[in-house]
Amino acid sequence: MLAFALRRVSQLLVTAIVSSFLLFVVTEFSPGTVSRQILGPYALPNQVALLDQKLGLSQSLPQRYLNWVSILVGLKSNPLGDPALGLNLSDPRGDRYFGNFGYSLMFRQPVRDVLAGPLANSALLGAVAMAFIVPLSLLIGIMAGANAGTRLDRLLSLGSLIVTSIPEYAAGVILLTVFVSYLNWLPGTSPLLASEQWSIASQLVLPVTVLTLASAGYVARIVRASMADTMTKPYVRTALLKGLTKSQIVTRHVIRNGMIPPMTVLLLQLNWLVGGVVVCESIFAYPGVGRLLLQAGLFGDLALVQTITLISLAMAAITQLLADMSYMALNPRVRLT
Amino acid sequence: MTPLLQVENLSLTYGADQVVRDLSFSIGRGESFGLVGESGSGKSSIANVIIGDLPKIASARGSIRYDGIDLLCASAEQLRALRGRRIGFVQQDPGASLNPTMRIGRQLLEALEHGDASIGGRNERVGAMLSRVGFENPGAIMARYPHQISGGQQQRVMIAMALLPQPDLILLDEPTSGLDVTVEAAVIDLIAELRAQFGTSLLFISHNLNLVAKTCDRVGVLYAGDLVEEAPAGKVFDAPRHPYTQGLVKCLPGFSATLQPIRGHVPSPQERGPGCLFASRCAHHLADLCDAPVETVALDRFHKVRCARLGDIPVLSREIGAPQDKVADTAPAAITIRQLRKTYPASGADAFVANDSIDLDIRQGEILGLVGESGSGKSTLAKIIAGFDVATSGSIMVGDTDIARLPVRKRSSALLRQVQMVFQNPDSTLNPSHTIGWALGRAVRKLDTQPGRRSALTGRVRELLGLVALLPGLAARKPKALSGGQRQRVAIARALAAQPRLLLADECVSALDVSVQAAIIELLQDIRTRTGTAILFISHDLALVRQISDRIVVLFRGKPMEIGSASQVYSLPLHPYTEALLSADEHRSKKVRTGAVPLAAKSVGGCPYAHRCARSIGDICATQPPPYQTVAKGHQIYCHIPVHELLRLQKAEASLESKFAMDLQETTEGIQHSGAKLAQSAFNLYPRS
Repeated sequence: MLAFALRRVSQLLVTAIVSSFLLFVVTEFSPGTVSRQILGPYALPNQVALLDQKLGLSQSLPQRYLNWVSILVGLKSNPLGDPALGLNLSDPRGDRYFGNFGYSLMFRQPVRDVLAGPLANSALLGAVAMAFIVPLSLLIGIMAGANAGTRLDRLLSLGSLIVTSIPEYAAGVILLTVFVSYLNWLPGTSPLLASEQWSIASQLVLPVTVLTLASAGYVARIVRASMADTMTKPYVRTALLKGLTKSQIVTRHVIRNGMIPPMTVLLLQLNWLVGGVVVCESIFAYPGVGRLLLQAGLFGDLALVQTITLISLAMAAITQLLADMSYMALNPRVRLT
Repeated sequence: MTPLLQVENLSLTYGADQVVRDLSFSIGRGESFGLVGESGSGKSSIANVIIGDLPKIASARGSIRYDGIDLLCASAEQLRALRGRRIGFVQQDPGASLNPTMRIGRQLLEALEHGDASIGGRNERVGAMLSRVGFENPGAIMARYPHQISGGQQQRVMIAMALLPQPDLILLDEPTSGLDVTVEAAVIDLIAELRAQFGTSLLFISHNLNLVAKTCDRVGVLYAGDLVEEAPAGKVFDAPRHPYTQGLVKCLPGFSATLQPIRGHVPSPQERGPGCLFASRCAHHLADLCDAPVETVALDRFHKVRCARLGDIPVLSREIGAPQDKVADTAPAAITIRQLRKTYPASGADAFVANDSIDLDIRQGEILGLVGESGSGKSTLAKIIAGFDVATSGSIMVGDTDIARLPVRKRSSALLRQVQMVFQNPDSTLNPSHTIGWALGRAVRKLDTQPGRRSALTGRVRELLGLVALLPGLAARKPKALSGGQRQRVAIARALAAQPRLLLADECVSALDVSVQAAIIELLQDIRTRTGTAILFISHDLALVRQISDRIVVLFRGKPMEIGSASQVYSLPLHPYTEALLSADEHRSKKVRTGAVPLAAKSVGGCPYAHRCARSIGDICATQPPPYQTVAKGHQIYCHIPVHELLRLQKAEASLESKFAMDLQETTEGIQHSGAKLAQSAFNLYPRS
């Protein structure tokens, strides 16, 4: 068990290194030189050349990656913070610390400070959405799968298919039209600032609904497929032949076995919810990471895009680790080998 | 007294397809009834209809009365109350029938849930039942998960589960399929023993006539959903009257020198008419008589036959005799294996030894039988020869090339042609989206020695189909349209496209029905004669290996225990392991030490069989590798005990046993081990020993 965990964690580290390198390469090759982007269109060529040299852009790619990682873990100081450049960037934490993601040029602030708020907002949105997605999709998936082939199953499956196939922006617009324009029950934007009319909670309703609609139907379908498959297993028949009732069979023999495959998918949703909900956050002007990513991308704020992507990568790796762990907890065959 | 279970005029249809037709039988209290049939005979459907678990499209007519309750009219709740408590059920494939994520103890406790025993009392009852089905440490077993015990143990758990609520009737649906011979024998013993103790009635469903005859008082033979014959167990073998039953008995290996397969195929539900369903395959078929509905005729109280021409059917005559050896002793080796060793890394410092220093010649044109339990390394050896795996050390010479460490991808096409393989399951060997002709054509293009034009290709495909006795028209069909036996023929034809020197047949008939099995065996022998290809025939079915092979190798944990011609090994099994294996197969009263094959991980350098050997002579067996003793020309055993001592021991036991021979009424012909016989054959082979 411990050996397994250690092996998984070391695999996680390898994944982190490889993917961060790929990420670095991709962002480095974005159009225009980095220095030109930083200094803007009116900078003089010699200014650009100076910055190029300062940033070490003439070095080899692996070398530049190493520099970047060294800054990230606090071994080197960030050359952009050098007052001699006149960029007027400074970091209250000092110029060398672990987790130094550089400066956001859009906000002229350290990335950490820019990101802290939106990350918390996204985490809030994700957590609330998950609190609906998990029970809802499990309930629908288990009910449909345990009664595979019945009218109830067809109804639930069709329902979740329809809900899944509505794109986020369409769902957002429909909900806005109904609940904001016509009924005026809910706020049209969710800046997460409590106003007299709309509480923070009321501002969360629509974004959470859109996310739940987009995700729960999909997860429910996966859960249903796995449950229906488990229902046909000989050990389920053994339970039937023992004289157990349907509900005993489902709760004791089907759910645990049937949850093993969908676990990964369920945890992937977490991944998407933090950092990937660009559309939904934009529609509702929700101050989260997704909207920030969109802004940073449009502005060309390299450090910010890199950081957000890096966080997404870390999330992906961690959720997969969690998936493996839960897989082990659910499946004794894996646990003991 | 009314019988416990009475089935009357039961008909079962799935949609428009008739699965069971006008079936009647009954099981008395404490009685065991066996249903035998090939795949598609509807035997499992009968068990399912009794327990009330049928697919939605099924509809049943007639009546099934269980202790006064009509099961076909019973409500879902009534049926549920009967399940487990009154009617137990043991499914096939115990590995899949146990919940992999629940401890065995909890699964067993569930069977008692509706009883009146207190919680603590239940635990005790489960423990007691586990010890009765042969577990020495019930507490430890209860704490385990199903994957932590062997297949035989799993099936014993399933039997314990069925017995726990003390039902009056247990349905056993192929309870031993997929288990090893020795494990199967132990499970059958257990069932017989428990039946005697508990007085439970049994409905035993199997494709294996031998097993059913051994376990049951009465046997019903099913053919395409018709009960064609019902008779006391002994009579099914000795005096079968229905042509199908007679044909089935003739298919059994060991019955006569050559197997006699039943020609034709089981009619599909769409092909079934109102008359006798066996008519299309019956030599006694008379158009007018047999195509009209046939009544069941009772020969006596217990023997009923459904045949319109019963009076004209001759009594089955048995040509007792064993197949003759056809060994070409002098034939040069097609392939030479020397000191072949294959180990897999295992947890801890020790490696798992799958093949242990094997020395073996496969001669040109011979059929070499390789027998052993699962885990004995049979398939590993085949895989290494075929190149799906590479040996750890040692050599396999094909001509001048050593292929022991040459994976299949690195073999030249000339080498690939030399060794070809037929797999166990024909259903998954053929690509379902291509026609038979395409599959064979591809094999010809890739492997044939003389690649030719397109027209030559189709000619060659026809030729290959002819070689395996299939009509050329089949080339245009897809695998789905073929029967299991036909598919296996295609798989064999595919392998023959290369005109190989050696054909590896790994359990190539074990997925097939008995009657089809016999035909494939016949085909393989025919191919050997016509093409001169050597065949390595791997099987766990000892009788089958005896039937087909010239020479036999008995493998235990990767080490050949006994090598000899088929008649040498079978008439005088000298190695204690071979002896145990053969007696398990014949299922004599002698107790065999059985159990799972323990992992070979702890090899201490001695005989791998030492720990299970009933004749072990002490530490030497466990610590020193025994020599190969030559018994006669070409007959070797791997044992410390001198040959004459083994003979003496066997003789002593056999004479003791012959005193009780009167009690052993079953399958007397099959047993060639009776004291006199053994002494005689020993005398013939070794006049002076």
